Amino acid sequence: MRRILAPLAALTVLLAVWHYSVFFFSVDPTVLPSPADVGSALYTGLVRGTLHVHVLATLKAAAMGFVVGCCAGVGLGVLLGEFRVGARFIFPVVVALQAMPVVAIAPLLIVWLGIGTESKVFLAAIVCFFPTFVNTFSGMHASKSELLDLYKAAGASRWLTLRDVKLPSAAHFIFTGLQIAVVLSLTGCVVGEFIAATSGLGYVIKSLAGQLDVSMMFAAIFTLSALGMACGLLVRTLHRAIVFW
Amino acid sequence: MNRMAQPNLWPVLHTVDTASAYKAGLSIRDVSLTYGTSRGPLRALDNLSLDVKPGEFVAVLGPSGCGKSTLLKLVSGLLSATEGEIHLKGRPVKSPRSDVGIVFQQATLLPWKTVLNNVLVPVRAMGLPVKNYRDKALDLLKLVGLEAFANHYPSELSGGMQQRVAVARGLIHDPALLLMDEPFAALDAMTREHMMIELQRIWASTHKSVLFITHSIQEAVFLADRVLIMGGRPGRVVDELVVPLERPRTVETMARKDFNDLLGHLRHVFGEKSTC
Repeated sequence: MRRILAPLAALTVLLAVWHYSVFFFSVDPTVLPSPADVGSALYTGLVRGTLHVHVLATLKAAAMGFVVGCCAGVGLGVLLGEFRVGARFIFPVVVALQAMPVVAIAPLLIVWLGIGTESKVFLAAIVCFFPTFVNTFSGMHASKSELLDLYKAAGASRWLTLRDVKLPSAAHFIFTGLQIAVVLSLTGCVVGEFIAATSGLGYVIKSLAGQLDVSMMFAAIFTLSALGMACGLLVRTLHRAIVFW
Repeated sequence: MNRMAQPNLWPVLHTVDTASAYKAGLSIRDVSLTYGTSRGPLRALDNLSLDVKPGEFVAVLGPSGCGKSTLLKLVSGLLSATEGEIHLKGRPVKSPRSDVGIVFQQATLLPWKTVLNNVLVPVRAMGLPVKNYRDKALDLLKLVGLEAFANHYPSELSGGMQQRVAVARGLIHDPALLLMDEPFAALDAMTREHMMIELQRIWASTHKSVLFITHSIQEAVFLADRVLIMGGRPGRVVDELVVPLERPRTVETMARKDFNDLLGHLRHVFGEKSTC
Protein backbone atom coordinates (compact mmCIF):
# COMPACT_ATOMS: atom_id res chain seq x y z
CA MET A 1 0.00 0.00 0.00
CA ARG A 2 2.75 2.41 1.02
CA ARG A 3 4.55 1.63 -2.22
CA ILE A 4 1.61 3.00 -4.19
CA LEU A 5 0.62 5.84 -1.85
CA ALA A 6 4.03 7.51 -1.56
CA PRO A 7 4.59 8.13 -5.29
CA LEU A 8 0.91 9.05 -5.66
CA ALA A 9 1.31 11.73 -2.98
CA ALA A 10 4.44 13.07 -4.71
CA LEU A 11 2.55 13.21 -8.02
CA THR A 12 -0.36 15.08 -6.41
CA VAL A 13 2.00 17.66 -4.91
CA LEU A 14 3.74 18.07 -8.27
CA LEU A 15 0.43 18.59 -10.08
CA ALA A 16 -0.68 21.09 -7.42
CA VAL A 17 2.54 23.08 -7.68
CA TRP A 18 2.25 23.02 -11.46
CA HIS A 19 -1.42 24.06 -11.40
CA TYR A 20 -0.96 26.93 -8.93
CA SER A 21 2.21 28.31 -10.46
CA VAL A 22 0.55 28.45 -13.91
CA PHE A 23 -2.44 30.13 -12.23
CA PHE A 24 -0.57 32.66 -10.03
CA PHE A 25 2.07 33.70 -12.53
CA SER A 26 -0.46 33.64 -15.40
CA VAL A 27 1.88 31.64 -17.61
CA ASP A 28 1.17 31.81 -21.33
CA PRO A 29 -0.55 28.43 -22.19
CA THR A 30 1.59 28.20 -25.34
CA VAL A 31 4.62 28.01 -23.04
CA LEU A 32 3.28 25.86 -20.23
CA PRO A 33 -0.35 24.76 -20.23
CA SER A 34 -2.11 23.97 -16.93
CA PRO A 35 -2.53 20.34 -15.85
CA ALA A 36 -6.23 20.67 -16.65
CA ASP A 37 -5.44 21.65 -20.26
CA VAL A 38 -3.09 18.69 -20.59
CA GLY A 39 -5.75 16.50 -19.01
CA SER A 40 -8.32 17.54 -21.55
CA ALA A 41 -5.80 17.06 -24.37
CA LEU A 42 -5.13 13.55 -23.04
CA TYR A 43 -8.90 12.95 -22.99
CA THR A 44 -9.20 14.08 -26.59
CA GLY A 45 -6.18 12.10 -27.66
CA LEU A 46 -6.72 8.81 -25.86
CA VAL A 47 -10.45 8.59 -25.12
CA ARG A 48 -11.83 10.32 -28.19
CA GLY A 49 -9.00 8.66 -30.00
CA THR A 50 -7.18 11.30 -32.07
CA LEU A 51 -3.85 9.87 -30.87
CA HIS A 52 -4.74 6.19 -31.28
CA VAL A 53 -3.35 5.80 -34.77
CA HIS A 54 -0.08 7.41 -33.65
CA VAL A 55 0.20 5.34 -30.47
CA LEU A 56 -0.24 2.23 -32.58
CA ALA A 57 2.27 3.38 -35.17
CA THR A 58 4.91 4.11 -32.51
CA LEU A 59 4.25 0.90 -30.60
CA LYS A 60 4.37 -1.19 -33.74
CA ALA A 61 7.63 0.32 -34.96
CA ALA A 62 9.22 0.19 -31.49
CA ALA A 63 8.17 -3.45 -31.05
CA MET A 64 9.54 -4.43 -34.46
CA GLY A 65 12.78 -2.58 -33.76
CA PHE A 66 12.99 -4.18 -30.32
CA VAL A 67 12.55 -7.69 -31.70
CA VAL A 68 15.01 -7.20 -34.56
CA GLY A 69 17.63 -5.37 -32.45
CA CYS A 70 17.40 -7.75 -29.50
CA CYS A 71 17.52 -10.88 -31.64
CA ALA A 72 20.61 -9.54 -33.36
CA GLY A 73 22.14 -8.49 -30.01
CA VAL A 74 21.48 -11.78 -28.26
CA GLY A 75 22.48 -13.75 -31.34
CA LEU A 76 25.80 -12.03 -31.86
CA GLY A 77 26.45 -11.99 -28.09
CA VAL A 78 25.99 -15.77 -27.88
CA LEU A 79 28.01 -16.36 -31.03
CA LEU A 80 30.98 -14.26 -29.91
CA GLY A 81 30.67 -15.69 -26.39
CA GLU A 82 31.08 -19.16 -27.86
CA PHE A 83 33.84 -18.28 -30.31
CA ARG A 84 36.27 -16.18 -28.33
CA VAL A 85 38.70 -15.81 -31.20
CA GLY A 86 36.05 -14.08 -33.28
CA ALA A 87 35.22 -11.89 -30.31
CA ARG A 88 38.75 -10.53 -30.28
CA PHE A 89 38.20 -9.10 -33.75
CA ILE A 90 34.58 -8.06 -33.63
CA PHE A 91 34.05 -6.87 -30.05
CA PRO A 92 36.24 -3.73 -30.33
CA VAL A 93 34.50 -2.78 -33.57
CA VAL A 94 31.09 -3.07 -31.93
CA VAL A 95 32.22 -0.99 -28.96
CA ALA A 96 33.54 1.67 -31.35
CA LEU A 97 30.22 1.71 -33.20
CA GLN A 98 28.40 2.06 -29.91
CA ALA A 99 30.27 5.31 -29.21
CA MET A 100 28.70 6.81 -32.29
CA PRO A 101 25.62 8.95 -31.42
CA VAL A 102 22.68 7.25 -33.08
CA VAL A 103 20.84 10.54 -33.58
CA ALA A 104 23.67 11.64 -35.84
CA ILE A 105 22.99 8.91 -38.37
CA ALA A 106 19.23 9.43 -38.37
CA PRO A 107 19.24 11.84 -41.36
CA LEU A 108 21.32 9.29 -43.27
CA LEU A 109 18.53 6.78 -42.81
CA ILE A 110 16.13 9.00 -44.73
CA VAL A 111 18.55 8.83 -47.60
CA TRP A 112 18.84 5.06 -47.32
CA LEU A 113 15.38 3.96 -46.28
CA GLY A 114 13.13 6.89 -47.11
CA ILE A 115 10.35 8.35 -45.02
CA GLY A 116 8.18 5.77 -43.26
CA THR A 117 8.22 2.78 -40.99
CA GLU A 118 11.55 1.28 -42.13
CA SER A 119 13.76 4.09 -40.90
CA LYS A 120 12.25 4.28 -37.42
CA VAL A 121 12.26 0.52 -37.03
CA PHE A 122 15.91 0.56 -38.03
CA LEU A 123 16.74 3.29 -35.49
CA ALA A 124 14.92 1.45 -32.72
CA ALA A 125 16.72 -1.76 -33.68
CA ILE A 126 20.14 -0.08 -33.54
CA VAL A 127 19.60 1.36 -30.06
CA CYS A 128 18.25 -2.00 -28.82
CA PHE A 129 21.16 -3.94 -30.26
CA PHE A 130 24.01 -2.54 -28.16
CA PRO A 131 22.75 -3.10 -24.60
CA THR A 132 21.49 -6.59 -25.39
CA PHE A 133 24.70 -7.51 -27.19
CA VAL A 134 27.03 -6.26 -24.44
CA ASN A 135 24.97 -7.87 -21.67
CA THR A 136 24.59 -11.18 -23.48
CA PHE A 137 28.30 -11.27 -24.23
CA SER A 138 29.25 -10.74 -20.58
CA GLY A 139 26.57 -13.22 -19.53
CA MET A 140 28.23 -15.87 -21.67
CA HIS A 141 31.25 -15.69 -19.35
CA ALA A 142 29.12 -16.00 -16.20
CA SER A 143 28.93 -19.82 -16.08
CA LYS A 144 30.66 -21.48 -13.14
CA SER A 145 33.80 -23.25 -14.31
CA GLU A 146 32.94 -26.35 -12.24
CA LEU A 147 29.69 -26.74 -14.16
CA LEU A 148 31.52 -26.45 -17.47
CA ASP A 149 34.06 -29.01 -16.19
CA LEU A 150 31.25 -31.33 -15.19
CA TYR A 151 29.74 -31.22 -18.67
CA LYS A 152 33.14 -31.50 -20.29
CA ALA A 153 34.10 -34.47 -18.10
CA ALA A 154 30.89 -36.18 -19.16
CA GLY A 155 31.75 -35.59 -22.81
CA ALA A 156 28.76 -33.30 -23.44
CA SER A 157 28.43 -31.66 -26.84
CA ARG A 158 29.02 -27.95 -27.26
CA TRP A 159 25.38 -27.40 -28.06
CA LEU A 160 24.17 -29.22 -24.92
CA THR A 161 26.59 -27.27 -22.73
CA LEU A 162 25.36 -24.06 -24.31
CA ARG A 163 21.72 -24.94 -23.74
CA ASP A 164 22.06 -26.48 -20.29
CA VAL A 165 24.67 -24.24 -18.68
CA LYS A 166 25.75 -21.19 -20.61
CA LEU A 167 22.41 -19.80 -21.78
CA PRO A 168 20.61 -20.19 -18.43
CA SER A 169 23.67 -18.71 -16.67
CA ALA A 170 23.48 -15.75 -19.04
CA ALA A 171 19.71 -15.31 -18.67
CA HIS A 172 19.90 -12.67 -15.94
CA PHE A 173 22.34 -10.65 -18.03
CA ILE A 174 20.24 -10.99 -21.17
CA PHE A 175 17.13 -9.74 -19.39
CA THR A 176 19.03 -6.80 -17.93
CA GLY A 177 19.94 -5.89 -21.51
CA LEU A 178 16.32 -6.31 -22.66
CA GLN A 179 15.18 -4.08 -19.80
CA ILE A 180 17.44 -1.28 -21.01
CA ALA A 181 16.57 -1.94 -24.64
CA VAL A 182 12.80 -1.79 -24.25
CA VAL A 183 12.88 1.82 -23.05
CA LEU A 184 15.49 2.74 -25.66
CA SER A 185 13.35 1.23 -28.41
CA LEU A 186 10.75 3.97 -27.82
CA THR A 187 13.47 6.63 -27.79
CA GLY A 188 14.95 5.37 -31.04
CA CYS A 189 11.54 5.18 -32.61
CA VAL A 190 10.60 8.74 -31.59
CA VAL A 191 13.88 10.10 -32.93
CA GLY A 192 13.07 8.38 -36.22
CA GLU A 193 9.61 9.94 -36.20
CA PHE A 194 11.02 13.40 -35.62
CA ILE A 195 13.02 13.11 -38.77
CA ALA A 196 11.39 10.74 -41.16
CA ALA A 197 7.79 9.75 -40.52
CA THR A 198 4.21 10.60 -41.31
CA SER A 199 2.69 9.08 -38.19
CA GLY A 200 3.62 8.17 -34.62
CA LEU A 201 3.85 10.09 -31.36
CA GLY A 202 7.23 11.61 -32.29
CA TYR A 203 5.71 12.90 -35.53
CA VAL A 204 2.76 14.33 -33.52
CA ILE A 205 5.07 16.13 -31.09
CA LYS A 206 7.13 17.62 -33.88
CA SER A 207 4.21 18.79 -36.00
CA LEU A 208 2.27 20.21 -33.02
CA ALA A 209 5.30 22.28 -32.11
CA GLY A 210 4.70 24.18 -35.34
CA GLN A 211 1.09 24.83 -34.31
CA LEU A 212 2.02 25.79 -30.72
CA ASP A 213 -0.46 23.17 -29.41
CA VAL A 214 1.62 22.60 -26.31
CA SER A 215 -1.14 20.82 -24.36
CA MET A 216 -1.38 18.08 -26.95
CA MET A 217 2.44 17.87 -27.08
CA PHE A 218 2.44 17.22 -23.34
CA ALA A 219 -0.33 14.67 -23.81
CA ALA A 220 1.81 12.84 -26.37
CA ILE A 221 4.90 13.02 -24.14
CA PHE A 222 3.01 11.63 -21.13
CA THR A 223 1.56 8.91 -23.31
CA LEU A 224 5.10 7.98 -24.36
CA SER A 225 6.35 7.79 -20.79
CA ALA A 226 3.34 5.67 -19.81
CA LEU A 227 4.10 3.35 -22.73
CA GLY A 228 7.75 3.17 -21.63
CA MET A 229 6.77 2.24 -18.10
CA ALA A 230 4.26 -0.35 -19.29
CA CYS A 231 6.81 -2.00 -21.61
CA GLY A 232 9.43 -1.96 -18.84
CA LEU A 233 6.98 -3.63 -16.48
CA LEU A 234 6.18 -6.25 -19.10
CA VAL A 235 9.86 -7.15 -19.52
CA ARG A 236 10.40 -7.19 -15.74
CA THR A 237 7.44 -9.53 -15.31
CA LEU A 238 8.77 -11.82 -18.03
CA HIS A 239 12.21 -11.70 -16.40
CA ARG A 240 10.81 -12.85 -13.05
CA ALA A 241 8.67 -15.53 -14.64
CA ILE A 242 11.38 -17.01 -16.87
CA VAL A 243 14.49 -16.54 -14.70
CA PHE A 244 12.75 -17.73 -11.54
CA TRP A 245 15.83 -19.00 -9.68
CA MET B 1 18.60 -45.58 9.40
CA ASN B 2 20.20 -48.15 11.62
CA ARG B 3 23.85 -48.12 10.74
CA MET B 4 24.90 -50.61 13.39
CA ALA B 5 22.63 -53.28 11.91
CA GLN B 6 24.78 -53.69 8.79
CA PRO B 7 28.34 -54.22 9.99
CA ASN B 8 29.15 -56.70 7.20
CA LEU B 9 29.09 -53.83 4.70
CA TRP B 10 32.35 -52.41 5.94
CA PRO B 11 35.27 -53.49 3.81
CA VAL B 12 38.66 -54.06 5.34
CA LEU B 13 41.28 -52.92 2.84
CA HIS B 14 44.44 -51.98 4.55
CA THR B 15 47.15 -53.48 2.43
CA VAL B 16 48.26 -51.89 -0.80
CA ASP B 17 47.77 -54.26 -3.69
CA THR B 18 49.13 -52.51 -6.77
CA ALA B 19 48.17 -55.23 -9.21
CA SER B 20 44.48 -55.11 -8.37
CA ALA B 21 44.50 -51.32 -8.44
CA TYR B 22 45.90 -51.50 -11.95
CA LYS B 23 43.26 -53.93 -13.15
CA ALA B 24 40.13 -52.60 -11.50
CA GLY B 25 40.96 -49.42 -9.62
CA LEU B 26 42.92 -46.27 -10.25
CA SER B 27 46.64 -46.35 -10.88
CA ILE B 28 48.76 -43.22 -11.27
CA ARG B 29 52.39 -43.80 -12.27
CA ASP B 30 55.10 -41.12 -12.19
CA VAL B 31 52.78 -38.38 -13.36
CA SER B 32 54.19 -34.91 -13.88
CA LEU B 33 52.41 -31.86 -15.14
CA THR B 34 53.99 -28.63 -16.29
CA TYR B 35 51.91 -25.57 -17.05
CA GLY B 36 53.11 -22.90 -19.40
CA THR B 37 52.65 -19.54 -17.70
CA SER B 38 53.66 -16.00 -18.56
CA ARG B 39 56.65 -16.41 -16.22
CA GLY B 40 57.77 -19.61 -17.88
CA PRO B 41 56.95 -23.25 -17.21
CA LEU B 42 55.46 -24.10 -13.82
CA ARG B 43 55.74 -27.65 -12.54
CA ALA B 44 52.47 -28.36 -10.73
CA LEU B 45 52.99 -32.08 -10.13
CA ASP B 46 56.24 -33.96 -9.98
CA ASN B 47 56.57 -37.74 -10.35
CA LEU B 48 53.39 -38.43 -8.50
CA SER B 49 52.33 -42.05 -8.04
CA LEU B 50 49.35 -43.42 -6.21
CA ASP B 51 46.82 -46.24 -6.34
CA VAL B 52 43.23 -46.56 -5.34
CA LYS B 53 41.99 -50.12 -5.15
CA PRO B 54 38.41 -51.07 -5.96
CA GLY B 55 36.21 -50.04 -3.06
CA GLU B 56 39.01 -48.24 -1.28
CA PHE B 57 38.65 -44.79 0.26
CA VAL B 58 41.85 -42.82 -0.23
CA ALA B 59 42.28 -39.29 1.08
CA VAL B 60 44.82 -36.93 -0.44
CA LEU B 61 45.77 -34.48 2.27
CA GLY B 62 47.62 -31.26 1.75
CA PRO B 63 47.37 -27.52 2.13
CA SER B 64 46.17 -25.26 -0.69
CA GLY B 65 48.53 -24.83 -3.61
CA CYS B 66 49.84 -28.40 -3.53
CA GLY B 67 48.38 -29.31 -6.89
CA LYS B 68 45.56 -31.36 -5.37
CA SER B 69 42.97 -29.94 -7.73
CA THR B 70 45.35 -30.40 -10.65
CA LEU B 71 45.53 -34.06 -9.69
CA LEU B 72 41.76 -34.26 -9.75
CA LYS B 73 41.58 -32.69 -13.20
CA LEU B 74 44.12 -35.21 -14.46
CA VAL B 75 42.19 -38.17 -13.12
CA SER B 76 38.92 -36.88 -14.57
CA GLY B 77 40.63 -36.41 -17.93
CA LEU B 78 40.10 -32.64 -18.03
CA LEU B 79 43.86 -32.19 -18.19
CA SER B 80 46.54 -34.35 -19.76
CA ALA B 81 49.72 -35.23 -17.92
CA THR B 82 53.00 -34.01 -19.35
CA GLU B 83 54.66 -37.26 -18.30
CA GLY B 84 53.53 -40.50 -16.73
CA GLU B 85 50.42 -42.62 -17.00
CA ILE B 86 47.03 -42.82 -15.39
CA HIS B 87 44.96 -45.97 -15.68
CA LEU B 88 41.42 -46.51 -14.52
CA LYS B 89 40.15 -50.11 -14.66
CA GLY B 90 43.21 -50.89 -16.75
CA ARG B 91 42.42 -48.33 -19.43
CA PRO B 92 44.49 -45.19 -19.86
CA VAL B 93 42.92 -41.85 -18.94
CA LYS B 94 43.72 -39.33 -21.63
CA SER B 95 40.51 -37.45 -22.22
CA PRO B 96 37.23 -37.05 -20.31
CA ARG B 97 35.70 -40.43 -19.62
CA SER B 98 32.41 -41.42 -18.20
CA ASP B 99 33.42 -43.77 -15.41
CA VAL B 100 34.42 -41.11 -12.90
CA GLY B 101 32.02 -39.10 -10.78
CA ILE B 102 33.07 -35.67 -9.53
CA VAL B 103 31.98 -33.76 -6.43
CA PHE B 104 33.32 -30.22 -6.17
CA GLN B 105 33.96 -27.94 -3.22
CA GLN B 106 30.77 -26.03 -4.01
CA ALA B 107 27.70 -28.11 -4.79
CA THR B 108 27.44 -26.29 -8.18
CA LEU B 109 23.94 -27.49 -8.88
CA LEU B 110 21.98 -25.96 -11.75
CA PRO B 111 19.61 -23.58 -9.94
CA TRP B 112 17.08 -23.79 -12.77
CA LYS B 113 16.72 -27.56 -12.49
CA THR B 114 14.96 -29.55 -9.78
CA VAL B 115 16.97 -31.72 -7.40
CA LEU B 116 15.99 -34.82 -9.37
CA ASN B 117 17.04 -33.31 -12.69
CA ASN B 118 20.29 -32.12 -11.15
CA VAL B 119 21.08 -35.68 -10.14
CA LEU B 120 20.40 -36.70 -13.74
CA VAL B 121 22.75 -34.08 -15.21
CA PRO B 122 25.69 -36.47 -15.92
CA VAL B 123 23.32 -38.89 -17.67
CA ARG B 124 22.00 -36.06 -19.81
CA ALA B 125 25.49 -34.74 -20.52
CA MET B 126 26.59 -38.20 -21.65
CA GLY B 127 23.68 -38.38 -24.04
CA LEU B 128 22.13 -41.41 -22.32
CA PRO B 129 18.34 -41.82 -22.12
CA VAL B 130 17.38 -39.84 -19.01
CA LYS B 131 14.13 -41.66 -18.32
CA ASN B 132 15.94 -44.98 -17.83
CA TYR B 133 17.82 -43.41 -14.92
CA ARG B 134 14.93 -41.77 -13.09
CA ASP B 135 14.39 -44.66 -10.67
CA LYS B 136 18.11 -44.86 -10.00
CA ALA B 137 18.18 -41.12 -9.29
CA LEU B 138 15.31 -41.50 -6.83
CA ASP B 139 17.12 -44.41 -5.15
CA LEU B 140 20.24 -42.28 -4.82
CA LEU B 141 18.24 -39.40 -3.37
CA LYS B 142 16.90 -41.89 -0.85
CA LEU B 143 20.44 -42.99 -0.11
CA VAL B 144 21.50 -39.42 0.65
CA GLY B 145 18.30 -38.86 2.63
CA LEU B 146 16.66 -36.39 0.26
CA GLU B 147 13.89 -38.42 -1.40
CA ALA B 148 11.34 -35.90 -0.16
CA PHE B 149 13.12 -33.08 -2.00
CA ALA B 150 13.23 -34.56 -5.51
CA ASN B 151 11.02 -31.84 -6.97
CA HIS B 152 12.47 -28.94 -5.02
CA TYR B 153 14.88 -26.41 -6.45
CA PRO B 154 18.44 -26.16 -5.06
CA SER B 155 17.79 -22.71 -3.57
CA GLU B 156 15.28 -24.34 -1.22
CA LEU B 157 17.98 -26.60 0.25
CA SER B 158 20.64 -25.94 2.86
CA GLY B 159 24.34 -26.08 1.94
CA GLY B 160 24.73 -29.58 3.38
CA MET B 161 21.68 -30.84 1.52
CA GLN B 162 22.94 -29.33 -1.74
CA GLN B 163 26.25 -31.09 -1.28
CA ARG B 164 24.41 -34.39 -0.72
CA VAL B 165 22.60 -33.82 -4.02
CA ALA B 166 26.02 -33.30 -5.59
CA VAL B 167 27.15 -36.66 -4.15
CA ALA B 168 24.08 -38.35 -5.63
CA ARG B 169 24.85 -36.64 -8.95
CA GLY B 170 28.40 -37.96 -8.79
CA LEU B 171 27.08 -41.52 -8.41
CA ILE B 172 24.21 -41.55 -10.94
CA HIS B 173 26.14 -43.03 -13.85
CA ASP B 174 27.63 -45.74 -11.64
CA PRO B 175 31.25 -44.55 -11.97
CA ALA B 176 34.14 -46.79 -11.00
CA LEU B 177 35.68 -43.93 -9.06
CA LEU B 178 34.27 -40.99 -7.15
CA LEU B 179 36.51 -37.93 -7.12
CA MET B 180 35.81 -35.49 -4.32
CA ASP B 181 37.53 -32.11 -4.27
CA GLU B 182 37.28 -30.71 -0.72
CA PRO B 183 33.55 -31.38 -0.81
CA PHE B 184 32.85 -30.20 2.73
CA ALA B 185 35.18 -27.20 2.81
CA ALA B 186 32.34 -24.73 2.25
CA LEU B 187 30.14 -26.17 5.02
CA ASP B 188 29.98 -25.11 8.65
CA ALA B 189 31.71 -27.29 11.26
CA MET B 190 28.55 -28.99 12.58
CA THR B 191 27.24 -29.83 9.11
CA ARG B 192 30.68 -31.04 8.12
CA GLU B 193 30.84 -33.67 10.89
CA HIS B 194 27.38 -34.85 9.98
CA MET B 195 28.36 -35.08 6.30
CA MET B 196 31.49 -37.09 7.16
CA ILE B 197 29.34 -39.73 8.84
CA GLU B 198 26.83 -39.63 6.00
CA LEU B 199 29.52 -40.01 3.35
CA GLN B 200 30.97 -42.99 5.18
CA ARG B 201 27.56 -44.64 5.15
CA ILE B 202 26.98 -43.83 1.45
CA TRP B 203 30.42 -45.11 0.51
CA ALA B 204 29.91 -48.33 2.44
CA SER B 205 26.63 -49.07 0.72
CA THR B 206 27.89 -48.29 -2.80
CA HIS B 207 31.34 -49.95 -2.63
CA LYS B 208 32.82 -47.18 -4.80
CA SER B 209 36.49 -46.30 -4.88
CA VAL B 210 36.87 -42.77 -3.60
CA LEU B 211 39.71 -40.32 -4.13
CA PHE B 212 38.98 -37.66 -1.55
CA ILE B 213 40.96 -34.45 -1.69
CA THR B 214 41.00 -32.40 1.47
CA HIS B 215 43.00 -30.01 3.61
CA SER B 216 41.34 -31.22 6.79
CA ILE B 217 43.40 -33.75 8.76
CA GLN B 218 40.33 -34.76 10.73
CA GLU B 219 38.27 -35.47 7.61
CA ALA B 220 41.07 -37.48 6.07
CA VAL B 221 41.61 -39.70 9.11
CA PHE B 222 37.94 -40.15 9.84
CA LEU B 223 36.95 -41.13 6.31
CA ALA B 224 39.91 -42.79 4.64
CA ASP B 225 41.41 -46.25 4.56
CA ARG B 226 44.65 -44.60 3.56
CA VAL B 227 45.83 -41.01 3.76
CA LEU B 228 48.35 -39.74 1.23
CA ILE B 229 50.17 -36.63 2.35
CA MET B 230 51.07 -34.20 -0.38
CA GLY B 231 53.93 -31.75 -0.33
CA GLY B 232 53.97 -28.83 -2.66
CA ARG B 233 55.71 -26.85 -5.35
CA PRO B 234 55.83 -29.09 -7.27
CA GLY B 235 53.12 -31.36 -5.87
CA ARG B 236 54.10 -34.89 -4.92
CA VAL B 237 53.19 -37.56 -2.38
CA VAL B 238 55.56 -37.25 0.59
CA ASP B 239 54.09 -39.75 3.01
CA GLU B 240 51.36 -42.30 3.50
CA LEU B 241 49.32 -43.37 6.50
CA VAL B 242 47.15 -46.46 6.71
CA VAL B 243 44.29 -45.68 9.06
CA PRO B 244 43.77 -48.72 11.32
CA LEU B 245 40.48 -47.54 12.85
CA GLU B 246 37.65 -50.04 12.52
CA ARG B 247 34.41 -49.13 10.77
CA PRO B 248 31.85 -47.80 11.07
CA ARG B 249 33.52 -44.82 12.62
CA THR B 250 31.22 -42.65 14.67
CA VAL B 251 31.19 -39.37 16.55
CA GLU B 252 32.66 -41.32 19.50
CA THR B 253 35.59 -42.35 17.31
CA MET B 254 36.58 -38.71 17.01
CA ALA B 255 36.91 -38.45 20.76
CA ARG B 256 39.09 -41.55 21.09
CA LYS B 257 42.78 -41.44 21.90
CA ASP B 258 43.94 -43.54 18.91
CA PHE B 259 42.03 -41.22 16.55
CA ASN B 260 43.64 -38.16 18.07
CA ASP B 261 47.07 -39.80 18.08
CA LEU B 262 46.70 -40.21 14.29
CA LEU B 263 45.79 -36.55 13.94
CA GLY B 264 48.82 -35.63 16.03
CA HIS B 265 51.05 -37.85 13.91
CA LEU B 266 49.84 -36.20 10.70
CA ARG B 267 50.32 -32.72 12.11
CA HIS B 268 53.86 -33.71 12.92
CA VAL B 269 54.42 -35.04 9.40
CA PHE B 270 53.13 -31.78 7.98
CA GLY B 271 55.44 -29.78 10.17
CA GLU B 272 58.39 -31.69 8.79
CA LYS B 273 57.66 -32.61 5.20
CA SER B 274 55.06 -30.42 3.60
CA THR B 275 56.40 -27.25 2.10
CA CYS B 276 53.30 -25.66 0.63
